[in-house]
Amino acid sequence: MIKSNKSFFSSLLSVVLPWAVSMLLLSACTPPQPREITPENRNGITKDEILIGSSLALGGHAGYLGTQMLQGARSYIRHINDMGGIHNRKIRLIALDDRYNPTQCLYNTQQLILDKKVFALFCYVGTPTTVRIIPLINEAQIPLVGMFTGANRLRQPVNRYLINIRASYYQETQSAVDFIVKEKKLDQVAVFYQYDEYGFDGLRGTEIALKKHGLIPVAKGSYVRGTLDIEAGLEKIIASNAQAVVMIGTYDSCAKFINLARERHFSPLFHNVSFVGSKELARRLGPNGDGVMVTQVVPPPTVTPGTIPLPGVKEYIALLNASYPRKKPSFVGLEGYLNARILVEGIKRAGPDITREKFIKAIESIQEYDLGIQNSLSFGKNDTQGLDDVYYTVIHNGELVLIK
Amino acid sequence: MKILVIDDEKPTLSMFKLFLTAYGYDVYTAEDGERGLALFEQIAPDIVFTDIKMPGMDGLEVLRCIKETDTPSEVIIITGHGDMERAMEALDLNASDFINKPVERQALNAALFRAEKRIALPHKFPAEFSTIKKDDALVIDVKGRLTASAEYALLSLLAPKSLKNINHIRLILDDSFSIDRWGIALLMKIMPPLKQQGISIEMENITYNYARVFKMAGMDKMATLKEALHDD
Amino acid sequence: MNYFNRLTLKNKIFVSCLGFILLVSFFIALFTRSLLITGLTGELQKRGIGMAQGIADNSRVYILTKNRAELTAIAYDGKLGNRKDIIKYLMITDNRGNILAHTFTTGFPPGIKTFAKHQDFKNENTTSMDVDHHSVFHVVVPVKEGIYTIGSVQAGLDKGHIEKLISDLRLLFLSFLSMVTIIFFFLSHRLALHITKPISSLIRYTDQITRGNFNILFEDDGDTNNWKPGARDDEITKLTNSFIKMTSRLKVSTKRLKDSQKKYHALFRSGPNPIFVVKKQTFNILDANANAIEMLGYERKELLRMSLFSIANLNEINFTHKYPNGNTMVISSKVKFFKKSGGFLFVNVHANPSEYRNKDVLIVAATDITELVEKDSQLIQASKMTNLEKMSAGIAHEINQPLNAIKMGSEYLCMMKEKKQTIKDEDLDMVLNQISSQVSRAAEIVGRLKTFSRKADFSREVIQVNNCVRAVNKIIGRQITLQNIDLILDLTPLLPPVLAHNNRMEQVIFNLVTNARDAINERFEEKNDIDKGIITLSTFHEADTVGLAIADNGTGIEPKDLDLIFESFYTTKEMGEGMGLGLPIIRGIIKDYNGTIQVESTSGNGAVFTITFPAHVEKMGYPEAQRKNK
Repeated sequence: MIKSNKSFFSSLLSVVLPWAVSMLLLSACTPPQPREITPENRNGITKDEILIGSSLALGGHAGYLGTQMLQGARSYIRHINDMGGIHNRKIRLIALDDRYNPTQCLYNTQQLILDKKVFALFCYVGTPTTVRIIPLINEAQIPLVGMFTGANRLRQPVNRYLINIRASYYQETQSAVDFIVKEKKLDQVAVFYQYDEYGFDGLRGTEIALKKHGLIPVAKGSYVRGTLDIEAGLEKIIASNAQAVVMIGTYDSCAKFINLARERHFSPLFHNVSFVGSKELARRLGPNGDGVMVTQVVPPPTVTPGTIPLPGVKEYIALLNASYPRKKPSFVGLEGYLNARILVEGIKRAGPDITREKFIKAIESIQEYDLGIQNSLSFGKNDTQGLDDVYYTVIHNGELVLIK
Repeated sequence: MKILVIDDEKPTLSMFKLFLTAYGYDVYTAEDGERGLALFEQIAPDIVFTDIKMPGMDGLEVLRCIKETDTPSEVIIITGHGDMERAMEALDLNASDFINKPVERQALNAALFRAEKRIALPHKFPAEFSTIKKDDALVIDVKGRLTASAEYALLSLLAPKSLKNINHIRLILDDSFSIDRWGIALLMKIMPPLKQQGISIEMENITYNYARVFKMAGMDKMATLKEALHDD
Repeated sequence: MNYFNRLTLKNKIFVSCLGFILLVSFFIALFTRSLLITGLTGELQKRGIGMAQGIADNSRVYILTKNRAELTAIAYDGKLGNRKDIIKYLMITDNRGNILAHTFTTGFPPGIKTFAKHQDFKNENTTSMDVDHHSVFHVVVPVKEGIYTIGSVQAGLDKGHIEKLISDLRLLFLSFLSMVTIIFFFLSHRLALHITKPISSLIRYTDQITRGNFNILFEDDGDTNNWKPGARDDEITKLTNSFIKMTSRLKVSTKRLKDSQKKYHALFRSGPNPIFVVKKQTFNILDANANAIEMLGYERKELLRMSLFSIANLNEINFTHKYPNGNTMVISSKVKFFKKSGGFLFVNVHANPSEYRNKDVLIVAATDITELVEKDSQLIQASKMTNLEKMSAGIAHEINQPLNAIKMGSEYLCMMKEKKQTIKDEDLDMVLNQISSQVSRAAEIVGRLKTFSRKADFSREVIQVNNCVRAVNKIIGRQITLQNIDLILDLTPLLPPVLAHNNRMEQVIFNLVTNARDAINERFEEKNDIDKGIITLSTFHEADTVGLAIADNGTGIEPKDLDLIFESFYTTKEMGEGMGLGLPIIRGIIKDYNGTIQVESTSGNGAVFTITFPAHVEKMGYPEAQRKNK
């Protein structure tokens, strides 16, 4: 039997060997997976300059928002630049108008990244626009700091390139609903929303919040973005005899809604979110604006006589006045200012040998940062939203008054 | 008396003619069987001598034809030496006698004598037996032609009761006696048991020629054969 | 290859199976892969082109309005979702190739702009290339406004997309192959064993049989792979069964062969006839049986040194041209075998080609016919006696006639003398003359007899056949005519003489005439369809031959007998009548005189025997009569 064993193994070998070889040969045909190793990007960084890019609504239905924001931001940036910049680098901000048009925003952003080769993106306005450029941000691996939008999509799933500062719409609508239901003890809540992602987000947030109270919206009315065709929505909501209307829209459409409602003697509690552009809303409402509530993500940008002003607010007002003497401070502007504060902090923390990666890591390291607005800001590896607080304001005599 | 002689040998015919004429017969001759028969019918002889071996119709054929005719006639056949088988056939056909070549006077005379005797006597057929008891001997006279048909008669003659106290049997052959082979066979059949019984047998008055035939058959061992005596 | 040949059957099967499976699998994999690649690539291209076409449709209006923002949006949208896997990049160009929109967020790969510019926009086309270390298909789809090309959509289709798929597939195949290989490894091993184990057993048993051991039992080896005939119903079982049958038959055959050998050995040793084994070419005696040794009186070892020709009066010529393969043939009859003592015996020799100890031999068997030959000559003598016997009956009859005449004549004279009668003179003359002539006649007959039976001289005489015929007629003529047969003599006068002996010639004629007579008698007896028998003796001569014909109208001779009548002992007569020696002896005599004899016959209707002899021509100065016979 030994003999057969031997021959068995020799034949075994004579088989296994070629098999192994053939396997190897076949597997060798697999091409190596080319995995690009992106170098730590240093676009936009020069010896003495950091180039920042922004595409935002400087004109059109939401032009106020962009303009205000930019003013606020630029005020602080000028201040920093006047102080010598960060690590001897001055910040230069390129702003392109996208008129709240996602396509334009996309195109602008491409320009900024590819042509202008900005280091980071900054101060974007609006949900559809910002959302539109997410693929670009991911592909270019470029951070975007400060967006004037509470869209859920920018926060979930967590994207380290999207550095949100303001609270989300979910948080705003939650607060709104809490106030309406708890404080005002109203349960007939309707929702008026812009028919786009911003509006859907707000609607959803409202529904989630109402559900927590075991309620559902009694009516839902909408209007197409870019239009003022609010009548259909209004009819719906009037018909529902809503006691309160949560409104997720822009100032012009919301203003028209409220005015028309008042004309029709329909005066539920109107509650807007911050994106509406409260000042402009107040202006367009006039006397109809009284009692209209607006949630805010930043404290009012005014110094109330008799109260101790928030340091952040104070600085904003001061700096705004320095750069744009004739301009009035606004919530949106304050946001812009705060965005700039974070941007600068991040650049500062990233060090002189700054790269996008280092910058992002620097942002993530900001914990319990005091912006002087009694609202501490924290970021983290999985936290790309800085602020969480929501403020209640109400229009009174054309002014937005903070409610506790 | 008329004699017809048939033979293909001219010398023989001449001699016969001479002899028989000297004896006082009317002698007619023929050289072959057919002419002989023609002559026979013509002259109706009392005695016929015929040679056995002849070209064309042989002697036996002649004998047969003659015996078929109504004309009674004694036929004597002439045989060659040692022709015993033929002789037997001739006897079967009721030839009267037979003689051998070369012909001896004695034989010729005996044949003629016997022939004449037979002419005179009636021919009994079947054979007749008459018996006489003499002391311890049984004498049986045999007359006529002894053939197989005589068996019953002969046997009854020799029945055991007839043979009481018999030590001796004498068979006396009549002059008219003739026999054929079956008759000889019959005799040969009855003789051995008699001999065994211790009875002696005698046959008397046998012709010279018959004696030869009987001897040939072996009868001389069974019985004493006594030849007939006669003078020329 | 040598290595392969040296493997055992089991391993051969095993390796072959395995190798085959591997080869097949390998080729399948290769084939499938190439098929897949081409398929998938085609799909990719098709899909990519489809997408590009969709984009082209969407871009049309914006190309016309030169709305770069929209075009950029479209381009980026083209990369959304699932399409991201396929489309690496998108470019929308105007009809001059200038890029209106693109998705190269992080920068243009080197040369892509020029490449895009120089594409043929008018038609769809695909180029395989590398962009940014990615293998892509660069597809170009024209944007048409009607029949006019207003721009193009150019997309880079990521091959990596399908390559991933292919590598996944390849891995699947490889694992499958490996599994198959391993399974088959064991299967084929088992299969090989299954086949070869019984064969190994059979080999073992065959070995046994070659050694002559037929008493093998099909034992179990104690192996778990039990092989019992009948346990499986396939070719192996059939082979086994055949093998068993073969073995038993072999056993029987071997036994039979041994028995047969013994038998033949015994036959050879104890055969009643002498048997020699003789080498075919040299005719040297290789072996002789006991009988041969005894018969010839030599010792065995003496015989083995001799050639066949030294003990027999044969030579090679007797043995040539007589070999129908394997058949026995009579070599010769009346061969003389010479004894050591110097005497000889007559034998009939049969020879048979054969093989003996790997040599070509002849088996030569002899039958002793010495007695037969002696009897033969005795019979010839007896035949003569028979003739004589036949004659004597006739003679006796013949002589009887003159004797009778003499006797009767002399008796007559005696009688007349005794009776004292006078004899007529003419009668006396006649008697005396008769006596005298008859005596002469008798003397003549006696004389003829004497001459008939006298032994012939060796030297031949000049004789006349006619005289012989007449002489025979005198002897037997009369006897024949008595039997109702005509004897006709038709003798040609002036016949040339022949060299022979009178009495022998007469013997011949006599014999033929008696045969004719017997035939005629037979016809008389059996059929009796003739009135008269006719025997015609006629003589004739042609050229230099003298002929004699004896014709009869007897029963004739059957065609089948025509050849046989001249054979010794051949007779159609009943037992006790005739010995059948006449014709052979006659032929012998005729041959002695350089003559011929022929017979013609129709069965049932007579026969004619025709004898011819060469006519004797007297040569000057050479009296032929002096010439000696052979």
